[in-house]
Amino acid sequence: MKICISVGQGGHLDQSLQIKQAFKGHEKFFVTAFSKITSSLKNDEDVYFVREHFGQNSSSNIIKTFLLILYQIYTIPHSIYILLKMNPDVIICNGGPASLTLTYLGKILGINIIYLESLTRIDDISLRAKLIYPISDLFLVQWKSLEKKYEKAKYWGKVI
Amino acid sequence: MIFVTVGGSSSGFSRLIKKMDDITESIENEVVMQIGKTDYKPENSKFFDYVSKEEIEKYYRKANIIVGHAGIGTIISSYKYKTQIIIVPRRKEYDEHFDDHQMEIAKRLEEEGIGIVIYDVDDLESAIKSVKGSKINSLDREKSLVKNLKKYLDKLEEK
Repeated sequence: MKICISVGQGGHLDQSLQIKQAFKGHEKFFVTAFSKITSSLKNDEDVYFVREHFGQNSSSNIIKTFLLILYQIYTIPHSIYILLKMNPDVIICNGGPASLTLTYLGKILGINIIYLESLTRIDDISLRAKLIYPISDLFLVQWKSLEKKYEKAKYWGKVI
Repeated sequence: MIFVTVGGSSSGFSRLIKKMDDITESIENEVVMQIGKTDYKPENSKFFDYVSKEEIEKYYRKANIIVGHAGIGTIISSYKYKTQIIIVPRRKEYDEHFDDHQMEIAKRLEEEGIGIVIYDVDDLESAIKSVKGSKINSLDREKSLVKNLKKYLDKLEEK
């Protein structure tokens, strides 16, 4: 089976690598943002780099939302290319630059969608998680309280 | 060696880096800092902005104390090498992060005994001096997550 791991460049990447053992016996590839941090990842793994978000640090919520939507549109052709070329059976999403387009396009293509919410989300899930929640086949959280709050969510443990 | 790290964040963390620089000379230990986008540049120790994952692992491996922001990557890496960690959460009010979730996560991890948490950088020097730099026990809590996820994936393949 082929697994696509969509992941951010910082702590999210460490969280995904921490559970690498779960992917043993399956073929896997990463989709992440290119940075100094992720540059060495391609020595050991199959990696596709997508341009990082823009406007993340903008103080205005309206501008931030606008740039986020613009960014998602921008990632569509690249995501289609990756999914058609690699043809994965499962997408495991722990954030990452193209996570929204990858999961939504993946769903259309009949790919199983797994979302792993970050350990940093304690009281509520992120906006991205809320958007992916309805289309996810498996939705994992890392705090018990979130399992109660979201019907579909499952708590199977923490990355640390 | 004390390794100070502010992680892959795109915001600086001058409050921590400047304080560490101020106290470096009174600490009897080499200090190396990964400062990310921090404007303040240390004068008393070696520093760099970002390096590859492969490269940063070398510092984690070599350090006997880690001083880091409350990022999960930083905490995971400290545990990987069983190194004591002093956590300084980033604060929204100082523009160190877009929200205060590092405060929240630091509090919860402190309750679980994962590390020493410093909220006021004036407490950093005494915290560093109180830590002996001995190895810590790994938590191994990822094992149940790995086991269940593996089971799910293997079952999916059978279909």
